[in-house]
Amino acid sequence: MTAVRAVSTALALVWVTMWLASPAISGPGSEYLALLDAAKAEGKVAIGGFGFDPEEVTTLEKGFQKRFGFPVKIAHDPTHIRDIPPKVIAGGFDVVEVNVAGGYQILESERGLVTVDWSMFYPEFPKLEEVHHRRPAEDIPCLLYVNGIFGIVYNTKLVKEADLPETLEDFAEPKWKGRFVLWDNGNPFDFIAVKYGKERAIELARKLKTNKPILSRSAAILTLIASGEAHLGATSISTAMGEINKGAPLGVKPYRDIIPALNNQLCVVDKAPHPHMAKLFAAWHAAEGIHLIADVAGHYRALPDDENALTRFLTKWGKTVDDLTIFSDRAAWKLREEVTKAVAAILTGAK
Amino acid sequence: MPAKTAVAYRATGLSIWPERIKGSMFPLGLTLIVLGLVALPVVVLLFASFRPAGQLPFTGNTWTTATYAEVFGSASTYHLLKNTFLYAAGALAVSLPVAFILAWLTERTDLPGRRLLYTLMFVPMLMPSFAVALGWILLLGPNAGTINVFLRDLLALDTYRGPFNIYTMWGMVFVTGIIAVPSMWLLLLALFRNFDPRLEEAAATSGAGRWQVLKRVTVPLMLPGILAVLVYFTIIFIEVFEVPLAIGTTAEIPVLSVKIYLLTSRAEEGYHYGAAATFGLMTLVLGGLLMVGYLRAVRVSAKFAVVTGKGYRPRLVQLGQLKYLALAGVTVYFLVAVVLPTLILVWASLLRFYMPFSPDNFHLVSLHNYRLIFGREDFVTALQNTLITSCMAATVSMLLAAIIAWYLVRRPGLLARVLGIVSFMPLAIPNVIIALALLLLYTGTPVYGTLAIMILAFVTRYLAFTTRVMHAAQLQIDKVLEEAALVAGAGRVLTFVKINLHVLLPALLNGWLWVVAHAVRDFAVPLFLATSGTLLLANLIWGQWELGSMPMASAYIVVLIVIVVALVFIGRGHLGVGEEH
Repeated sequence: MTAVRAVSTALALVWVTMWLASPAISGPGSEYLALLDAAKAEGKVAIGGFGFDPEEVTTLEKGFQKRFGFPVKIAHDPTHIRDIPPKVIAGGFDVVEVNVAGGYQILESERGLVTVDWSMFYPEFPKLEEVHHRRPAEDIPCLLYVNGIFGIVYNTKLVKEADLPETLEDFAEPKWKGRFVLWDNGNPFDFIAVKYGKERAIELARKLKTNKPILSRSAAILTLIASGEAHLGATSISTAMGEINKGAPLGVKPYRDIIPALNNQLCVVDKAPHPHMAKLFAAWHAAEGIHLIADVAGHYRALPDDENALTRFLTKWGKTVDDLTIFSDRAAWKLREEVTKAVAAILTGAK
Repeated sequence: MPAKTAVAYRATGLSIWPERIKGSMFPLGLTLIVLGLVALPVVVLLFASFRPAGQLPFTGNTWTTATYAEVFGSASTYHLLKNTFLYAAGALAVSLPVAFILAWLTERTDLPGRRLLYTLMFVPMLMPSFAVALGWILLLGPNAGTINVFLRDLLALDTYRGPFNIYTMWGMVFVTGIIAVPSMWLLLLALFRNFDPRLEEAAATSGAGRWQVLKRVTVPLMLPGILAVLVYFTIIFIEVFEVPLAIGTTAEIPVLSVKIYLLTSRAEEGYHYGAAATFGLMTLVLGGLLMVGYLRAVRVSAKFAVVTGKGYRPRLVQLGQLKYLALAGVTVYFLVAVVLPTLILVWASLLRFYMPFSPDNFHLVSLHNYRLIFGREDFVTALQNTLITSCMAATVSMLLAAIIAWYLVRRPGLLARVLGIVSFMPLAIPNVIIALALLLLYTGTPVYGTLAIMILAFVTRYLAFTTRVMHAAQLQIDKVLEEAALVAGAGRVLTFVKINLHVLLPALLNGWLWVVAHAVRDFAVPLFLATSGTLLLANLIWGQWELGSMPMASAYIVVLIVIVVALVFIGRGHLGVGEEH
């Protein structure tokens, strides 16, 4: 009898505990619900730093409506992330995507960003917790947003896959002289520095410079390769995959030894005109929205259990997201600054 | 007798202000307005130049002179300056002769189809510089450029490169030169229009041939105006950055303007707004020196006033058989400046990903990009914003310039000199720096986030040009016309409107169209000052370009060109801006 009473009491205690805890584990909290109402009233989000095209904006707007039952009007400023620090400080954005090369440090020091308690979104967006925890440093108020990996992009009409280089060093081979294209801003030597050290990165830049690379900027590189102006190049695989989806004669291959990945930050702006929608959209986009456009846009938030074009690509080459080389902390950011400056000077011939 | 009140004074037409003070109020007020537009951004530049790397001008407490030491102590600065001057001189050498001949042909000869030419010349002016540069990269890329491939096939050349290479100083100079021709043509057109042809006719009657008339009469009399054009474009070429950015980085020819831009927009340059501002101030000093030369040159311009109330309508030079040669020359220019780059952009806009022009790739052509564009609400909004901003900026800028020009010419003195210098200053400040300065200046004010801040930026940006246009035109209007109106009883304001604005209407309208065309294609101002609610077409084009979607960017450019060309056609037709003026 005593045993029965003890079991009954224990079960009752478990039930009461579960009942008391149930709001926290089975559904969103009141803070989240209040934010939802406020966001609904705001109805808009102004975002900067994303390279959305019209199709993607439409897809995201429809996806948001389906997910939450009310619409969002996305106004995005296509200004590149590297140009936005002053604009963010001035106000006018809700959400911005920045990276170490996009003036994050300026925004941080000028207090252009707000710290959000992302935990309120965890019940609604289970993946968000991991996204948040993967940020480069504890005190960063933003969400991880991997916005591209880098490797070898080539013209499939001019180069056979079997003839492709294996590493960035292989671009120094005579057969690629004057036929390969590099970014003029030091990418991906900054990643090389993170993995192998500054000296090796700079030495490699000098070595490749003697093989007469064609220098260009982000978007033009793919045009140069697809048109045949360059046979191949070291650039964004993610963006190239977007072009391949459209039918461009491009092929992609990762480096054998390193997979550079640009880990951007998705941040809510201090002077956001739609502060509630800003938080909701950022959380939803980082956890779910990105997947709606992942296979067409070249924006890939690569987490271990993701299933998208990027992870499929990595699997094909026997890699996983754990092989990505990212700028994992502030020391890496600082190193990147130093290396990109030095390498850009070497490549562009600046004295 | 009680003292008269201000109301009583006004009622009797008298003034409470002493005549000397009253006479100074107008120029003082004008100078203050222009100073407000121009000097504040310069102050921002000064502040910024004493800030360390990675810090914005009005934030933080750290001040330093290290930036100046860094800039002037670096050999790269002098390397940049050398490249910049070579580039500017080359672009002038390409554009000035072409623009002069075209202006002469359109304004003073019986060239067949010249009425059409008046409008067609605006087409290249409406094309964003970086788009033209992109077009020529696609045409003259050393490996896959369409023209190079065509020539290699035609001449059976056994090489995969050349024969032309756009990635050279000559490539930069060539593209910049052809881009500048229409703007230069427009300025020279105003000079031709306000130039009394009877002097040429007298020389011709005296037995001088066409070449002698041009050399001994036309050019010398137009020299102050040509000098103004030269000075203006020297500074423009020093600050232009789209072409050096598109071509020069690959060609490994760094110039000053690109350095300034990169210093404000790249992590590898350390977001060094201080260094950018220092280079900006250096450009300002260079512009100032050029401006001094300009002012000295036009000091004697009074004797070049050749338009009077009589004999204004020019008689056209009969080209005879030479018209075929002239037509061939004009055709070649349009092929080079308009048709070829436009065709390659149209081609690109019809693709989902860029492929070289070839019959083998015709199956890739579709209207997909255009369907996308016209289905987007943000495109319509951006188009509206673009038109409102550029038209308002042009109107305000031209009216302000007309007033300034009138004062500079009719009321020479210390204040006029100050006003002249201040209104010329924006020319010497690179676009990107003006935009950045205005952004920092108006942050947190109600102006930020509205179209007004961009209108303000464009008015500031183009004030130097519009003032020069109106100044050059005003110089050639004899004050006898105004005196006649005043004697006839018209007030000063009525005289200004009825005489100055009326007589200067061609220059005014052409200047207006010029500002519209340049504001529409400007990228620096919208990139810095547009917010998500006030995007212009330039933002959408740049966004697609940065995204790597060259076809979509090309589609936006083509749509923009078609719309603005249509507007210019309609505008010129309705406003009557043509050969009859």
